Amino acid sequence: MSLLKIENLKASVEGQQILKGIDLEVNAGEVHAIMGPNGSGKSTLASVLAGREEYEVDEGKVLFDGQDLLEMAPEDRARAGLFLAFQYPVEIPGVSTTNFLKAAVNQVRQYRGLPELDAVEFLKIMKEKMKLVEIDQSLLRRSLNEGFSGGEKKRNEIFQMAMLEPKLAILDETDSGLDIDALRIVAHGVNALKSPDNATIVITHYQRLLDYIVPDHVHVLYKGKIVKSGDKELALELEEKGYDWIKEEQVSA
Amino acid sequence: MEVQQNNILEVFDRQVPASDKPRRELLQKLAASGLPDRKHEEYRYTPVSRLLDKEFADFTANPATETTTLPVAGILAEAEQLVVFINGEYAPHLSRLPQDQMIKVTPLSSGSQPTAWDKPAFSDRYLDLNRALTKSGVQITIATGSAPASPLYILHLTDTARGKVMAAPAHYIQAEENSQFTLVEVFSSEGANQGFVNAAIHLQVARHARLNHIKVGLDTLSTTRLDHTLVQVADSASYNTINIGLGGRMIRNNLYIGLQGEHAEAHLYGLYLPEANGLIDHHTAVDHRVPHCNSNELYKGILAADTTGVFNGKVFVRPGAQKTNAFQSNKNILLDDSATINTKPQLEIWADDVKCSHGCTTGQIDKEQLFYLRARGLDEASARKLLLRAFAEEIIEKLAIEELREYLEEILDSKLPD
Ligand SMILES: Nc1ncnc2c1ncn2[C@@H]1O[C@H](COP(=O)(O)OP(=O)(O)O)[C@@H](O)[C@H]1O
Ligand SMILES: [Mg+2]
Repeated sequence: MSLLKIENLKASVEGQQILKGIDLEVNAGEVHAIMGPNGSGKSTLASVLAGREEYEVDEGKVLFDGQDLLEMAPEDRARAGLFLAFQYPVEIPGVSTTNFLKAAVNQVRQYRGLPELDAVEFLKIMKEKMKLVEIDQSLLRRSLNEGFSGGEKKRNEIFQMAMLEPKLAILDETDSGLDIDALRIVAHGVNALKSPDNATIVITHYQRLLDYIVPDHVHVLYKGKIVKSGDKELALELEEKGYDWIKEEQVSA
Repeated sequence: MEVQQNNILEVFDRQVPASDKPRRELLQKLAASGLPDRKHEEYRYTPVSRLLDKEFADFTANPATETTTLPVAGILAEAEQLVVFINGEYAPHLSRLPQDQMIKVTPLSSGSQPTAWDKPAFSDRYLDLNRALTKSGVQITIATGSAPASPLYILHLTDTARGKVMAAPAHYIQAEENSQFTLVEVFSSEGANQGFVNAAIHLQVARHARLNHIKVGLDTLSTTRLDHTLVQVADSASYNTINIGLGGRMIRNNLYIGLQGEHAEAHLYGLYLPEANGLIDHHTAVDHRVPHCNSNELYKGILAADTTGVFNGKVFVRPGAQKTNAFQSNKNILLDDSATINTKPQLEIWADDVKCSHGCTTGQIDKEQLFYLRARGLDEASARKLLLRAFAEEIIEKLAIEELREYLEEILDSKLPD
């Protein structure tokens, strides 16, 4: 079943078009990888899907779980089951993860017609999910991302994803800055949350993470367009040959 | 120009009998100089005199009050030691004076103000006005080496239910050597008529003493209030103050801290959240007079629609005050185009071996932070409130009295715009 359907999506920031016509369909149960050189528009795509306001949609349509995604407020997208693990999670002094997550989880549950969690139930679920990404409670009580190491930030993102139980998770360079152990932990968390009902988009420009989170489809984004799609072999090919051959193909095409 | 001010000075004039020479002299000086108005740098943004001329020209005397219940019960009901002033007058029936010998509390009446009290290097015409008009106050002495377990509260209630009110209390606080003490001043008002409070508090913190001084401003829009706080800190002593201001029509705080002895310290924190059509002004001055002193200042403002904030932070490092550490920061969040903040750091440094820094930021709620929280499913209003609370929390969390902190967190929550 199609969970996400992007058609001819064009989007700009500060008057400059970054996404130049993206088509992508993601079905429940699938893992898609989006790869591509720096600056090709991967984070822009993630931001547009999550609803960041600075990005202007010029053209195109996005259906998420049957709904017109682009019409929805960012919080409603999250409540409907879209989750973005940020490439650069923002620091919020004075707000800890536990601080906002209970309210967030309950607003999400309310939207989905589920009963609110009380403090005890919330804590219980939190403990389970903390184990999954090997994150410490003390970290969740600190100001969000303030003074966190790269790995702590990314694990915290995956922890929140586990708490919010999204239908579609978009992981934006969740592997960057991670050592191999942290990478394994993060990948383990993502894999454990996989089900036939949800899907994952992994944005990365290294093949490394894809050894752990094996994609069903791999797409190459270049200059705001998906210029190539294939299976996991494509990722290996990119790893071996770099992006230059793609760029050359584009020039000669 | 001066004519306009004479209105109110005449009103003041009638309150001091001809026989009271020293006070009459002060008033005559004020008549000659006039009260500061917008033309005076120090009162540019806070035109108190204009407001007084307009609202108090017809003032004759305070109405009798019959206040029998304490306001702000959330804070004061449990206060073990409480000195209450209603419309500037000591209210023994509502006060709870300390039982132990460590704290000596002496209510002051007209003319009994201590005279042998060092004058700090600070002057202000409204402070002179307080000297000319004050009839009451309290003298508090914390005995050498003592550390009373519970704080002492001073409540200033302005009750204008029966007519316009003016009050000019003057307090004298002395923390003797090696003592430790927490003083909480609460300013509260009720009643629909206008009130004008021009309060002064003089504090001396002796060697190795530590004085925590909390001020809570819960004034309503019918109150105009000036608050002069003059502190002298002796060597190795420390003075810590937290000022939380959540209302009032025009509130002006003058805080002067003289670091008089080596290794003296001062920590100054402020949070101001004026209500619509209200103004809160902080003029602070930290005076490093001798070497090896530290001061640290952080004031934060949340300014919603139709509110005004003023921050002026002076730091003086006097000649020879080497090895001074002085830090100052003022941060403001403006929530609406109709909100105004006038902020000005003013560092005057006459010594060369010092570490001083200051910074001020004024901005909106951070868009990235807001988006992050919304992307986690929080609605925009909840996300905004959470961020504002976090902004305020940096000051609120400094309050070591738990009941007070929780009470203020609740009030703050109710005052934060959705
Ligand atoms: N907020 C923004 N303001 C201005 N330019 C932006 C903004 N976000 C992205 N861009 C530009 O859009 C292009 C694509 O960026 P991005 O989506 O971050 O690429 P990727 O994630 O693939 O590295 C870059 O040229 C970048 O400079
Ligand atoms: Mg990116």
